[in-house]
Amino acid sequence: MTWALRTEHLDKSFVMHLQGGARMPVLAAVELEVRPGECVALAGVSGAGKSTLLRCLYGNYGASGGRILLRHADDTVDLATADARLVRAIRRRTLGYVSQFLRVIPRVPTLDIVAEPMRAMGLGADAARQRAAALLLRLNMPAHLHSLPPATFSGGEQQRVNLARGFAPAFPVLLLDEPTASLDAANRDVVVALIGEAKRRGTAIVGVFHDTEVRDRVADRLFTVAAMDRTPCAT
Amino acid sequence: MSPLLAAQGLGLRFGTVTALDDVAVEIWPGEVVAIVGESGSGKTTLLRVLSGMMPPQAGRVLYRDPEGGQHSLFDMPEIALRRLHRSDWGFVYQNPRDGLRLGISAGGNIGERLMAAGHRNYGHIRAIAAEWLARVEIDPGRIDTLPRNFSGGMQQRLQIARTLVTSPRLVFMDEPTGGLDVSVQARLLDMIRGLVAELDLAVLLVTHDISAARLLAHRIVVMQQGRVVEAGLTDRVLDDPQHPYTQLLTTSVLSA
Repeated sequence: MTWALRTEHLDKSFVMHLQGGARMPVLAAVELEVRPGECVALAGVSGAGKSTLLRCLYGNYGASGGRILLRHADDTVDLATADARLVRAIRRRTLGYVSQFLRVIPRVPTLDIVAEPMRAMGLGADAARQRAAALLLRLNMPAHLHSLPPATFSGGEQQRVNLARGFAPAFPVLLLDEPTASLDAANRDVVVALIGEAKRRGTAIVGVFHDTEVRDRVADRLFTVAAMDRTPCAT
Repeated sequence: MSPLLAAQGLGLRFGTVTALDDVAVEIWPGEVVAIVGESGSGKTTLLRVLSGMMPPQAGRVLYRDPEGGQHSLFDMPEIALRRLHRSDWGFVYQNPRDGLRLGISAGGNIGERLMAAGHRNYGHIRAIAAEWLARVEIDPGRIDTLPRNFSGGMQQRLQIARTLVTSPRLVFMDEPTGGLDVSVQARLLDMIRGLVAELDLAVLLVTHDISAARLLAHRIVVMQQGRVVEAGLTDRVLDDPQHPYTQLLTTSVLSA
Protein backbone atom coordinates (compact mmCIF):
# COMPACT_ATOMS: atom_id res chain seq x y z
CA MET A 1 0.00 0.00 0.00
CA THR A 2 1.61 3.24 -1.10
CA TRP A 3 -0.83 5.85 0.16
CA ALA A 4 -3.79 6.06 2.53
CA LEU A 5 -5.06 9.42 1.34
CA ARG A 6 -4.48 11.20 -1.92
CA THR A 7 -5.94 14.23 -3.62
CA GLU A 8 -5.86 14.68 -7.38
CA HIS A 9 -6.28 18.15 -8.75
CA LEU A 10 -8.48 19.20 -5.85
CA ASP A 11 -10.22 22.55 -6.31
CA LYS A 12 -12.33 24.44 -3.84
CA SER A 13 -14.08 27.71 -4.32
CA PHE A 14 -17.02 29.29 -2.58
CA VAL A 15 -19.88 30.86 -4.47
CA MET A 16 -21.51 33.50 -2.33
CA HIS A 17 -25.03 33.87 -3.59
CA LEU A 18 -25.88 36.51 -1.00
CA GLN A 19 -23.04 38.67 -2.37
CA GLY A 20 -24.30 38.67 -5.92
CA GLY A 21 -22.97 35.22 -6.77
CA ALA A 22 -19.30 36.15 -6.46
CA ARG A 23 -16.94 33.19 -6.67
CA MET A 24 -14.01 33.06 -4.27
CA PRO A 25 -11.33 30.51 -5.17
CA VAL A 26 -9.43 29.03 -2.19
CA LEU A 27 -7.74 25.83 -3.38
CA ALA A 28 -6.60 24.98 -6.89
CA ALA A 29 -5.13 21.75 -8.19
CA VAL A 30 -4.00 20.45 -4.80
CA GLU A 31 -1.98 17.23 -5.16
CA LEU A 32 -1.42 15.73 -1.70
CA GLU A 33 -0.41 12.18 -0.92
CA VAL A 34 -0.10 10.74 2.58
CA ARG A 35 1.28 7.28 3.32
CA PRO A 36 0.26 5.10 6.26
CA GLY A 37 2.33 6.05 9.31
CA GLU A 38 3.18 9.46 7.92
CA CYS A 39 2.28 12.82 9.45
CA VAL A 40 2.01 15.72 7.02
CA ALA A 41 1.75 19.24 8.41
CA LEU A 42 -0.03 21.80 6.29
CA ALA A 43 1.95 25.01 5.94
CA GLY A 44 1.11 28.33 4.38
CA VAL A 45 0.31 31.88 5.34
CA SER A 46 -2.77 32.66 7.36
CA GLY A 47 -5.76 32.52 5.03
CA ALA A 48 -4.00 30.29 2.50
CA GLY A 49 -6.69 27.64 2.94
CA LYS A 50 -5.11 25.11 5.33
CA SER A 51 -8.30 24.64 7.34
CA THR A 52 -10.38 24.63 4.15
CA LEU A 53 -8.23 21.79 2.80
CA LEU A 54 -8.61 19.88 6.06
CA ARG A 55 -12.40 20.33 5.95
CA CYS A 56 -12.47 19.13 2.33
CA LEU A 57 -10.49 16.05 3.34
CA TYR A 58 -13.17 15.28 5.93
CA GLY A 59 -16.02 15.86 3.50
CA ASN A 60 -17.28 18.74 5.62
CA TYR A 61 -16.74 21.04 2.64
CA GLY A 62 -17.62 19.68 -0.75
CA ALA A 63 -14.87 19.65 -3.39
CA SER A 64 -15.50 21.91 -6.39
CA GLY A 65 -13.35 19.74 -8.62
CA GLY A 66 -10.85 16.88 -8.56
CA ARG A 67 -10.76 13.75 -6.43
CA ILE A 68 -10.12 12.87 -2.79
CA LEU A 69 -9.14 9.21 -2.70
CA LEU A 70 -9.15 7.15 0.47
CA ARG A 71 -8.44 3.51 1.25
CA HIS A 72 -11.63 2.42 2.94
CA ALA A 73 -12.68 -1.13 3.81
CA ASP A 74 -10.29 -2.79 1.31
CA ASP A 75 -11.48 -0.47 -1.40
CA THR A 76 -10.59 2.89 -2.87
CA VAL A 77 -13.30 5.52 -2.52
CA ASP A 78 -13.56 9.09 -3.79
CA LEU A 79 -14.79 11.32 -0.99
CA ALA A 80 -15.42 14.12 -3.48
CA THR A 81 -18.26 12.20 -5.13
CA ALA A 82 -19.33 9.85 -2.29
CA ASP A 83 -22.98 10.18 -1.28
CA ALA A 84 -23.98 11.10 2.27
CA ARG A 85 -24.39 7.51 3.42
CA LEU A 86 -20.95 6.49 2.13
CA VAL A 87 -19.35 9.53 3.78
CA ARG A 88 -20.95 8.47 7.06
CA ALA A 89 -19.58 4.94 6.65
CA ILE A 90 -16.12 6.31 5.84
CA ARG A 91 -16.24 8.50 8.95
CA ARG A 92 -17.35 5.58 11.11
CA ARG A 93 -14.54 3.33 10.05
CA THR A 94 -11.70 5.10 8.30
CA LEU A 95 -11.57 8.83 8.79
CA GLY A 96 -11.27 10.74 12.05
CA TYR A 97 -11.19 14.49 12.61
CA VAL A 98 -10.18 16.45 15.66
CA SER A 99 -11.62 19.92 15.36
CA GLN A 100 -10.35 22.83 17.35
CA PHE A 101 -13.58 23.26 19.22
CA LEU A 102 -15.94 20.73 20.70
CA ARG A 103 -19.50 20.92 19.49
CA VAL A 104 -21.13 20.26 22.82
CA ILE A 105 -24.09 17.93 22.96
CA PRO A 106 -26.25 18.90 25.94
CA ARG A 107 -26.51 16.43 28.80
CA VAL A 108 -24.30 13.70 27.34
CA PRO A 109 -21.51 12.72 29.77
CA THR A 110 -17.89 13.18 28.65
CA LEU A 111 -17.19 9.45 28.83
CA ASP A 112 -20.04 8.67 26.40
CA ILE A 113 -18.96 11.43 24.01
CA VAL A 114 -15.51 9.84 23.82
CA ALA A 115 -16.86 6.28 23.67
CA GLU A 116 -19.43 7.02 20.94
CA PRO A 117 -17.22 6.69 17.82
CA MET A 118 -15.80 3.41 19.18
CA ARG A 119 -19.34 2.11 19.73
CA ALA A 120 -20.19 3.15 16.17
CA MET A 121 -17.18 1.14 14.98
CA GLY A 122 -18.66 -1.91 16.68
CA LEU A 123 -16.75 -2.05 19.98
CA GLY A 124 -18.76 -3.26 23.00
CA ALA A 125 -20.05 -0.68 25.49
CA ASP A 126 -17.75 -1.71 28.35
CA ALA A 127 -14.62 -1.93 26.24
CA ALA A 128 -15.38 1.44 24.63
CA ARG A 129 -15.92 3.13 28.00
CA GLN A 130 -12.77 1.58 29.45
CA ARG A 131 -10.68 2.80 26.57
CA ALA A 132 -12.32 6.21 26.74
CA ALA A 133 -11.60 6.51 30.46
CA ALA A 134 -7.97 5.45 30.04
CA LEU A 135 -7.35 8.01 27.30
CA LEU A 136 -9.08 10.80 29.24
CA LEU A 137 -6.91 10.03 32.28
CA ARG A 138 -3.82 10.09 30.11
CA LEU A 139 -4.86 13.54 28.92
CA ASN A 140 -5.05 14.58 32.58
CA MET A 141 -8.84 14.61 32.76
CA PRO A 142 -9.57 13.26 36.26
CA ALA A 143 -12.22 10.56 36.69
CA HIS A 144 -14.73 12.82 38.44
CA LEU A 145 -15.10 14.84 35.22
CA HIS A 146 -15.92 11.79 33.08
CA SER A 147 -19.54 11.61 34.17
CA LEU A 148 -20.18 15.31 33.51
CA PRO A 149 -21.28 16.81 30.19
CA PRO A 150 -18.41 18.99 28.91
CA ALA A 151 -20.58 22.10 28.47
CA THR A 152 -19.06 23.79 31.53
CA PHE A 153 -15.47 22.69 30.85
CA SER A 154 -12.71 25.14 29.96
CA GLY A 155 -11.47 25.45 26.38
CA GLY A 156 -8.44 23.30 27.14
CA GLU A 157 -10.55 20.61 28.78
CA GLN A 158 -12.99 20.56 25.85
CA GLN A 159 -10.08 20.24 23.45
CA ARG A 160 -8.81 17.24 25.39
CA VAL A 161 -12.27 15.63 25.21
CA ASN A 162 -12.11 16.17 21.45
CA LEU A 163 -8.62 14.67 21.28
CA ALA A 164 -9.65 11.60 23.26
CA ARG A 165 -12.69 11.19 20.99
CA GLY A 166 -10.54 11.46 17.86
CA PHE A 167 -7.61 9.26 18.93
CA ALA A 168 -9.51 6.50 20.78
CA PRO A 169 -10.98 4.65 17.76
CA ALA A 170 -7.56 4.35 15.99
CA PHE A 171 -8.84 5.49 12.59
CA PRO A 172 -6.53 4.68 9.65
CA VAL A 173 -6.62 8.35 8.61
CA LEU A 174 -6.71 11.19 11.12
CA LEU A 175 -7.10 14.92 10.49
CA LEU A 176 -5.98 17.35 13.19
CA ASP A 177 -6.96 21.02 13.26
CA GLU A 178 -4.74 22.89 15.73
CA PRO A 179 -4.81 20.00 18.21
CA THR A 180 -2.70 21.73 20.86
CA ALA A 181 -4.02 25.29 20.55
CA SER A 182 -5.49 25.53 24.08
CA LEU A 183 -3.17 23.12 25.89
CA ASP A 184 -0.43 23.57 28.47
CA ALA A 185 3.06 22.10 28.00
CA ALA A 186 2.32 18.82 29.82
CA ASN A 187 -0.75 18.09 27.71
CA ARG A 188 1.06 19.13 24.53
CA ASP A 189 3.59 16.40 25.33
CA VAL A 190 0.77 13.87 25.70
CA VAL A 191 -0.58 14.85 22.27
CA VAL A 192 2.89 14.56 20.71
CA ALA A 193 3.16 11.06 22.21
CA LEU A 194 -0.33 10.09 20.96
CA ILE A 195 0.56 11.23 17.44
CA GLY A 196 3.80 9.20 17.60
CA GLU A 197 1.92 6.08 18.68
CA ALA A 198 -0.70 6.55 15.97
CA LYS A 199 2.03 6.82 13.34
CA ARG A 200 3.65 3.62 14.56
CA ARG A 201 0.23 1.92 14.23
CA GLY A 202 0.18 3.04 10.60
CA THR A 203 -2.20 5.97 10.86
CA ALA A 204 -1.89 8.56 8.12
CA ILE A 205 -2.13 12.02 9.68
CA VAL A 206 -2.73 15.44 8.16
CA GLY A 207 -2.64 18.37 10.52
CA VAL A 208 -2.64 22.12 10.88
CA PHE A 209 -0.27 23.02 13.71
CA HIS A 210 0.01 26.62 14.74
CA ASP A 211 2.60 25.63 17.33
CA THR A 212 5.80 25.18 15.28
CA GLU A 213 7.60 23.37 18.10
CA VAL A 214 4.88 20.69 18.19
CA ARG A 215 4.81 20.64 14.41
CA ASP A 216 8.55 19.98 14.14
CA ARG A 217 8.30 17.17 16.68
CA VAL A 218 5.51 15.27 14.91
CA ALA A 219 5.62 16.12 11.21
CA ASP A 220 7.54 14.01 8.72
CA ARG A 221 7.21 16.73 6.13
CA LEU A 222 5.45 19.97 5.36
CA PHE A 223 2.92 20.48 2.60
CA THR A 224 2.58 24.08 1.57
CA VAL A 225 -0.88 25.31 0.69
CA ALA A 226 -0.35 28.09 -1.82
CA ALA A 227 -2.27 31.27 -1.15
CA MET A 228 -4.49 32.23 -4.04
CA ASP A 229 -5.70 35.57 -5.17
CA ARG A 230 -9.05 35.49 -3.42
CA THR A 231 -10.47 38.51 -5.13
CA PRO A 232 -14.03 37.43 -5.74
CA CYS A 233 -14.94 37.36 -9.37
CA ALA A 234 -18.43 37.65 -10.71
CA THR A 235 -19.89 34.56 -12.33
CA MET B 1 -29.68 -3.19 2.02
CA SER B 2 -32.42 -1.06 0.51
CA PRO B 3 -34.39 1.98 1.68
CA LEU B 4 -37.32 1.65 4.11
CA LEU B 5 -39.14 4.29 2.14
CA ALA B 6 -38.44 5.68 -1.32
CA ALA B 7 -40.43 8.41 -3.06
CA GLN B 8 -40.03 9.60 -6.62
CA GLY B 9 -41.52 12.32 -8.75
CA LEU B 10 -43.95 13.54 -6.10
CA GLY B 11 -46.20 16.36 -7.26
CA LEU B 12 -49.10 18.08 -5.53
CA ARG B 13 -50.89 21.39 -6.13
CA PHE B 14 -53.44 23.19 -4.01
CA GLY B 15 -55.20 25.45 -6.52
CA THR B 16 -52.48 27.68 -7.90
CA VAL B 17 -50.04 26.82 -5.09
CA THR B 18 -47.42 24.16 -5.85
CA ALA B 19 -46.90 22.20 -2.64
CA LEU B 20 -44.67 19.47 -4.11
CA ASP B 21 -42.80 19.68 -7.38
CA ASP B 22 -40.97 16.55 -8.58
CA VAL B 23 -39.74 15.60 -5.09
CA ALA B 24 -37.64 12.48 -4.48
CA VAL B 25 -36.63 11.26 -1.01
CA GLU B 26 -35.20 8.03 0.42
CA ILE B 27 -34.91 6.90 4.02
CA TRP B 28 -32.60 4.04 4.93
CA PRO B 29 -32.58 1.93 8.11
CA GLY B 30 -31.09 3.70 11.11
CA GLU B 31 -30.92 7.03 9.32
CA VAL B 32 -32.26 10.35 10.60
CA VAL B 33 -33.31 12.68 7.79
CA ALA B 34 -34.40 16.25 8.49
CA ILE B 35 -36.58 18.16 6.06
CA VAL B 36 -35.96 21.87 6.60
CA GLY B 37 -37.44 24.97 5.05
CA GLU B 38 -39.57 27.93 5.94
CA SER B 39 -43.34 27.88 6.46
CA GLY B 40 -45.07 27.14 3.19
CA SER B 41 -42.03 25.38 1.68
CA GLY B 42 -44.00 22.15 1.44
CA LYS B 43 -42.15 20.25 4.15
CA THR B 44 -45.22 19.32 6.19
CA THR B 45 -47.12 18.34 3.04
CA LEU B 46 -44.18 16.09 2.11
CA LEU B 47 -44.34 14.43 5.54
CA ARG B 48 -48.07 13.83 5.15
CA VAL B 49 -47.58 12.28 1.71
CA LEU B 50 -44.64 10.10 2.77
CA SER B 51 -46.57 8.81 5.78
CA GLY B 52 -49.56 7.89 3.63
CA MET B 53 -51.89 10.51 5.08
CA MET B 54 -52.32 12.44 1.84
CA PRO B 55 -52.09 11.04 -1.69
CA PRO B 56 -49.93 12.96 -4.18
CA GLN B 57 -51.21 13.90 -7.64
CA ALA B 58 -48.05 12.57 -9.25
CA GLY B 59 -45.28 10.16 -8.32
CA ARG B 60 -45.16 7.23 -5.98
CA VAL B 61 -43.97 6.16 -2.54
CA LEU B 62 -42.54 2.68 -2.03
CA TYR B 63 -42.52 1.12 1.42
CA ARG B 64 -40.43 -1.93 2.28
CA ASP B 65 -41.87 -4.23 4.97
CA PRO B 66 -39.72 -6.11 7.53
CA GLU B 67 -39.77 -9.22 5.31
CA GLY B 68 -38.38 -7.23 2.39
CA GLY B 69 -41.61 -6.97 0.38
CA GLN B 70 -42.15 -3.72 -1.55
CA HIS B 71 -45.49 -1.94 -1.40
CA SER B 72 -46.72 1.10 -3.25
CA LEU B 73 -48.13 3.12 -0.37
CA PHE B 74 -51.20 4.51 -2.09
CA ASP B 75 -52.10 1.16 -3.64
CA MET B 76 -52.23 -0.50 -0.22
CA PRO B 77 -55.67 -1.20 1.23
CA GLU B 78 -56.71 1.38 3.85
CA ILE B 79 -56.69 -1.26 6.56
CA ALA B 80 -53.10 -2.31 5.77
CA LEU B 81 -51.97 1.31 5.93
CA ARG B 82 -53.65 1.75 9.31
CA ARG B 83 -51.99 -1.44 10.54
CA LEU B 84 -48.65 -0.06 9.35
CA HIS B 85 -49.18 3.07 11.46
CA ARG B 86 -49.80 0.91 14.51
CA SER B 87 -46.79 -1.36 14.07
CA ASP B 88 -43.82 -0.67 11.81
CA TRP B 89 -44.33 3.12 11.77
CA GLY B 90 -44.85 5.84 14.32
CA PHE B 91 -45.92 9.47 14.01
CA VAL B 92 -45.06 12.21 16.48
CA TYR B 93 -47.24 15.30 16.04
CA GLN B 94 -46.15 18.84 16.78
CA ASN B 95 -49.11 19.25 19.11
CA PRO B 96 -49.11 16.32 21.56
CA ARG B 97 -52.90 16.66 21.80
CA ASP B 98 -53.10 15.29 18.26
CA GLY B 99 -51.15 12.17 19.17
CA LEU B 100 -52.45 11.50 22.67
CA ARG B 101 -55.82 10.74 24.17
CA LEU B 102 -56.11 13.32 26.90
CA GLY B 103 -59.04 11.62 28.61
CA ILE B 104 -57.22 8.40 29.45
CA SER B 105 -54.29 7.97 31.83
CA ALA B 106 -50.61 8.29 30.87
CA GLY B 107 -50.20 4.54 31.28
CA GLY B 108 -53.35 3.96 29.24
CA ASN B 109 -51.95 6.03 26.38
CA ILE B 110 -48.92 3.78 26.18
CA GLY B 111 -50.90 0.59 26.85
CA GLU B 112 -53.45 1.37 24.17
CA ARG B 113 -50.82 1.18 21.46
CA LEU B 114 -49.49 -2.08 22.88
CA MET B 115 -53.00 -3.55 22.88
CA ALA B 116 -53.47 -2.43 19.29
CA ALA B 117 -50.31 -4.38 18.54
CA GLY B 118 -51.78 -7.50 20.12
CA HIS B 119 -50.64 -7.42 23.76
CA ARG B 120 -53.28 -8.77 26.16
CA ASN B 121 -51.76 -9.32 29.62
CA TYR B 122 -52.76 -6.32 31.79
CA GLY B 123 -49.92 -6.66 34.32
CA HIS B 124 -47.37 -6.96 31.57
CA ILE B 125 -48.74 -3.95 29.68
CA ARG B 126 -48.69 -1.84 32.85
CA ALA B 127 -45.09 -2.85 33.58
CA ILE B 128 -43.98 -1.89 30.07
CA ALA B 129 -45.86 1.43 30.34
CA ALA B 130 -44.12 2.23 33.65
CA GLU B 131 -40.76 1.36 32.13
CA TRP B 132 -41.39 3.67 29.17
CA LEU B 133 -42.51 6.53 31.40
CA ALA B 134 -39.13 6.28 33.13
CA ARG B 135 -37.32 6.19 29.80
CA VAL B 136 -38.91 9.47 28.75
CA GLU B 137 -38.18 10.95 32.18
CA ILE B 138 -41.71 10.97 33.56
CA ASP B 139 -42.10 9.71 37.13
CA PRO B 140 -43.70 6.23 36.78
CA GLY B 141 -45.72 7.15 39.89
CA ARG B 142 -47.82 9.32 37.56
CA ILE B 143 -48.92 6.35 35.47
CA ASP B 144 -52.58 6.94 36.40
CA THR B 145 -52.52 10.73 35.84
CA LEU B 146 -54.43 12.14 32.88
CA PRO B 147 -52.05 13.76 30.37
CA ARG B 148 -54.18 16.91 30.29
CA ASN B 149 -52.63 17.64 33.69
CA PHE B 150 -49.09 17.38 32.27
CA SER B 151 -46.95 20.29 31.05
CA GLY B 152 -46.41 20.66 27.29
CA GLY B 153 -42.94 19.11 27.51
CA MET B 154 -44.24 16.12 29.50
CA GLN B 155 -47.10 15.62 27.05
CA GLN B 156 -44.60 15.56 24.20
CA ARG B 157 -42.41 13.03 26.02
CA LEU B 158 -45.49 10.89 26.67
CA GLN B 159 -46.39 11.02 22.99
CA ILE B 160 -42.89 9.82 22.15
CA ALA B 161 -43.21 6.92 24.63
CA ARG B 162 -46.60 6.00 23.15
CA THR B 163 -45.09 6.04 19.66
CA LEU B 164 -41.92 4.10 20.39
CA VAL B 165 -43.34 1.41 22.71
CA THR B 166 -44.19 -0.90 19.81
CA SER B 167 -40.64 -0.66 18.38
CA PRO B 168 -41.43 0.90 15.01
CA ARG B 169 -38.62 0.94 12.45
CA LEU B 170 -39.58 4.30 10.96
CA VAL B 171 -40.85 7.32 12.86
CA PHE B 172 -42.21 10.52 11.32
CA MET B 173 -41.86 13.66 13.43
CA ASP B 174 -43.53 16.97 12.65
CA GLU B 175 -41.80 19.85 14.50
CA PRO B 176 -41.59 17.75 17.69
CA THR B 177 -40.17 20.65 19.70
CA GLY B 178 -42.37 23.27 18.03
CA GLY B 179 -44.54 24.71 20.77
CA LEU B 180 -42.09 24.33 23.65
CA ASP B 181 -39.85 26.66 25.68
CA VAL B 182 -36.21 26.70 24.61
CA SER B 183 -34.99 24.97 27.79
CA VAL B 184 -37.61 22.25 27.36
CA GLN B 185 -36.68 21.91 23.68
CA ALA B 186 -33.03 21.15 24.47
CA ARG B 187 -33.98 18.42 26.91
CA LEU B 188 -36.45 16.87 24.50
CA LEU B 189 -34.05 16.96 21.55
CA ASP B 190 -31.40 15.34 23.64
CA MET B 191 -33.80 12.63 24.76
CA ILE B 192 -34.88 11.97 21.17
CA ARG B 193 -31.24 11.82 20.10
CA GLY B 194 -30.48 9.18 22.76
CA LEU B 195 -33.52 7.03 21.97
CA VAL B 196 -32.95 7.17 18.20
CA ALA B 197 -29.36 5.96 18.59
CA GLU B 198 -30.24 3.32 21.18
CA LEU B 199 -33.18 1.87 19.21
CA ASP B 200 -31.49 2.33 15.80
CA LEU B 201 -34.59 4.07 14.46
CA ALA B 202 -35.04 5.61 11.07
CA VAL B 203 -36.57 9.05 11.51
CA LEU B 204 -38.02 11.52 9.06
CA LEU B 205 -38.11 14.81 10.87
CA VAL B 206 -39.70 18.03 9.69
CA THR B 207 -38.33 21.13 11.36
CA HIS B 208 -37.60 24.79 10.75
CA ASP B 209 -35.04 24.67 13.57
CA ILE B 210 -31.59 24.38 11.99
CA SER B 211 -29.88 23.61 15.32
CA ALA B 212 -32.29 20.76 15.96
CA ALA B 213 -31.51 19.37 12.51
CA ARG B 214 -27.77 19.71 13.20
CA LEU B 215 -28.10 17.84 16.49
CA LEU B 216 -30.33 15.00 15.30
CA ALA B 217 -30.03 14.44 11.57
CA HIS B 218 -27.51 12.51 9.51
CA ARG B 219 -28.89 13.99 6.31
CA ILE B 220 -30.74 17.18 5.47
CA VAL B 221 -33.22 17.88 2.71
CA VAL B 222 -33.78 21.60 2.08
CA MET B 223 -37.14 22.57 0.59
CA GLN B 224 -38.26 25.81 -0.96
CA GLN B 225 -41.57 26.39 -2.72
CA GLY B 226 -42.31 22.69 -3.03
CA ARG B 227 -38.93 21.74 -4.47
CA VAL B 228 -35.90 20.03 -2.95
CA VAL B 229 -33.21 22.67 -3.58
CA GLU B 230 -30.37 20.92 -1.77
CA ALA B 231 -29.83 17.63 0.05
CA GLY B 232 -26.91 15.82 1.62
CA LEU B 233 -24.79 15.17 4.66
CA THR B 234 -25.95 17.42 7.52
CA ASP B 235 -22.66 19.10 8.36
CA ARG B 236 -21.80 19.68 4.71
CA VAL B 237 -25.15 21.23 3.83
CA LEU B 238 -24.97 23.51 6.87
CA ASP B 239 -21.24 24.41 6.70
CA ASP B 240 -20.85 24.58 2.92
CA PRO B 241 -24.33 25.36 1.56
CA GLN B 242 -24.49 25.57 -2.23
CA HIS B 243 -27.97 26.82 -3.04
CA PRO B 244 -28.83 30.51 -2.52
CA TYR B 245 -31.79 29.59 -0.32
CA THR B 246 -29.67 27.28 1.90
CA GLN B 247 -27.06 30.04 2.23
CA LEU B 248 -29.78 32.40 3.35
CA LEU B 249 -31.17 29.84 5.78
CA THR B 250 -27.80 29.05 7.39
CA THR B 251 -26.70 32.66 7.71
CA SER B 252 -30.01 33.63 9.31
CA VAL B 253 -29.31 31.63 12.46
CA LEU B 254 -26.72 32.25 15.14
CA SER B 255 -24.05 29.52 15.48
CA ALA B 256 -26.23 26.70 14.18
